[in-house]
Amino acid sequence: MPLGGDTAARLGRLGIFADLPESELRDVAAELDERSFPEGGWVLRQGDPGSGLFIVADGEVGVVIDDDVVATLATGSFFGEISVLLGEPATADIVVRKPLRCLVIPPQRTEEFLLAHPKVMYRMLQTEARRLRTVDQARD
Amino acid sequence: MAGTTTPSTGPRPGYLPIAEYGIIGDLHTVALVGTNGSVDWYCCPAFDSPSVFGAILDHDRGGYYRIGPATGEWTTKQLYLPDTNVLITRYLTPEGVGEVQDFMPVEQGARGRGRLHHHRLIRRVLGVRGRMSLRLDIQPRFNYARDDHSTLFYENGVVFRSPGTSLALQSPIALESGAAAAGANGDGGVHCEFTLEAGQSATFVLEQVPDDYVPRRYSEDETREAFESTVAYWRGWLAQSRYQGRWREMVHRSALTLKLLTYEPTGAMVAAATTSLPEGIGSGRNWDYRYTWIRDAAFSVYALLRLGFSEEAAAFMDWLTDRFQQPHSQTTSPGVSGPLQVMYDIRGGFDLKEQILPHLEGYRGSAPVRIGNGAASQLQLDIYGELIDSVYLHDKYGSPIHYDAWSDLCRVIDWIAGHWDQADEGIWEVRGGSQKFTYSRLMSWVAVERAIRIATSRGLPAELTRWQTTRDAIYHQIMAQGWNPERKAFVQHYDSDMLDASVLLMPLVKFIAPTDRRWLSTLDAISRELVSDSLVYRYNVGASPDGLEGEEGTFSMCTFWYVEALARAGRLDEARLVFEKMLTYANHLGLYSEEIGLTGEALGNFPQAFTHLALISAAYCLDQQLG
Repeated sequence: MPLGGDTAARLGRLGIFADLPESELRDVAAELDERSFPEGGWVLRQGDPGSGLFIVADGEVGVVIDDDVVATLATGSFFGEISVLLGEPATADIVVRKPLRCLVIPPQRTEEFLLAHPKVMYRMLQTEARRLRTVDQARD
Repeated sequence: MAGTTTPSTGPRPGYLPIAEYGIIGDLHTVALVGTNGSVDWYCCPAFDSPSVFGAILDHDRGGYYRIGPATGEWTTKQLYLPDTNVLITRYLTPEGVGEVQDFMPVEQGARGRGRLHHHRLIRRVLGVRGRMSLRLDIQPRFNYARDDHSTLFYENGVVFRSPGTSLALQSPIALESGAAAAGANGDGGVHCEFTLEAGQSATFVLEQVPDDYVPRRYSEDETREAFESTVAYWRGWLAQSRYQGRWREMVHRSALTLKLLTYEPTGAMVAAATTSLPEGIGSGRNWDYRYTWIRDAAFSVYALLRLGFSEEAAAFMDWLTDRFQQPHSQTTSPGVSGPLQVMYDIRGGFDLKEQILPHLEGYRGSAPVRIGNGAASQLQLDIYGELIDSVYLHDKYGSPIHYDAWSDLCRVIDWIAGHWDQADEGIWEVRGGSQKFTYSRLMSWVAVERAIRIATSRGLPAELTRWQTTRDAIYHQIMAQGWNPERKAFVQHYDSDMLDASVLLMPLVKFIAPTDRRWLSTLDAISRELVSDSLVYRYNVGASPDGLEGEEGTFSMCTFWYVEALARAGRLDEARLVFEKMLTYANHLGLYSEEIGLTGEALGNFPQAFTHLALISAAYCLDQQLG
């Protein structure tokens, strides 16, 4: 994939890939697609069929549910995982707030990718746990 | 305290004056926050740990963490939330007013229970009026800017991971890589810009974390609670003060600062929050003060007891007792002949090996930057006087001395009896060779005299006859050799006719009556030769070479001693004027560094405990004398 010459170093700055050695980072870089989106556009629309797991490499998106911005995601965040893991349509609109460059794992390769890189899966789980905790605290 | 006004342009115009900083802390470490909103000094996790933000020692390489207006010109004001160590930096522009509330929650009870201490540095940014665009820039430089680090981006912030420690910055605003503005080590840190309307807020939490930490979202409720509990902690602590005299605000600010400089796990107080802020720009007189001097003991215990902070006095006393109860082989580093070192680290360790950090340019180019302190291994006989005076004070006003501590103290007195007449390096830690300093003998006299007082008042076993003989021998020698009949003054050391401000303590330690003719003529001589516009030099560097290059400013601590000496001599109007003038040299927050330069600028490490201790003592004394 065309992520440039210092791909491994750039991937290594993203928390989800923080624990990978350089050789594995190079492997990961080869498995990912890179996509760019202009400011103001949509990456996903609520109800879209699963489009993959998206990892924000640069830029910023808003998570919009029923016209409410419920979260802002920036460099190091990811989205699309619920849709991919459950095989269900997207649960939110993802709106680009700052020009976006993201890494994408297509839905059909997500399981294989996560099983091949368990440390990435563990980091994803940590982040999901953080999200869950935040929601719980907000409810309290 | 009053604020300051500093028109500013651009994010980082250069080195701020030393006095343009405020201090926050959590009783383990501190951070210095400039009036431009930049944290330019922060060591983590303890006072003497390597710096993470050290821009005061190297503007380009040292690292910083700034939150301030994004563009344009603004005016800034800084103040403490009253009776607390919560610092507020305010920005005023025609379009709006914003402020940053900086604080570090005091995590009480975290030690000794296996809990991780987070050392949270919380920066709560509020829109006050209109709207304001702000910018956050953070460029950590771990291990005094010697270690590389990685920056890992997560959903709720970033983790800066270095070989020695990792810090997370948790942010409600998306953070961006600052690669375009890469610093000396190639890492440009991270930044973000945001706009706040009146009533809006954004809170940024920096904390020490494990390597595998995933940043979390701090809710506004949570940070408000942390803010309120921090305010309550400081107000509750200060409420213990019994001081009701004049200048109460300044005395209380000094007390709050001394508490910030105290390491809660051991009760030790560092001499200052910083290392290597120069005593004169380009002078080379740059030292690491993040250690605990035995010398500060008596002054600390006295000041804390006077104000009613008996718990802090007792904790510091425990730390001191541990020092002279440590086996000799453990307390003495190579080359030290006495039972105590001059200084220790905050945990009681004695390995303070001095080294220079050549990669840092020093404050405004004032190299060298030193860490560790080579003076630790000097022989400075006065420390025993200060130590035993503090034991005496605590025994009298705090709690009675225990038998084991008394037995160890007797051994210290025995050692003094055999060594007080040696040449030493003296109170100012000069590096120009040993001398028979008058002050060292004065404090040796204090050591023996106070031990006799304790033994007599408590009926404790002691070789009183021998001790009295030693005490009187020291006294007679000072009167014979420390007194210079031609100068009509007590002088710096026996082979000199130079004056020294340290002898201002003679009446304060009750060595001599404050109205004794010898003393009054010494005071006159000091007034003529060491006092300049009410400020006191510790000695005449030109006439009395100290083995160091460069000039230095007046010594704030000595000026406060001068106030006390004048007050005790009955020269109250003069004492009050000098004291009031001295108050004008504090910074906008009431903080002092070690020295004051010719144009009133703060010089040396900042803020300095000894100066604040001397302020409390002088205020207390002067207030009593004024009635």
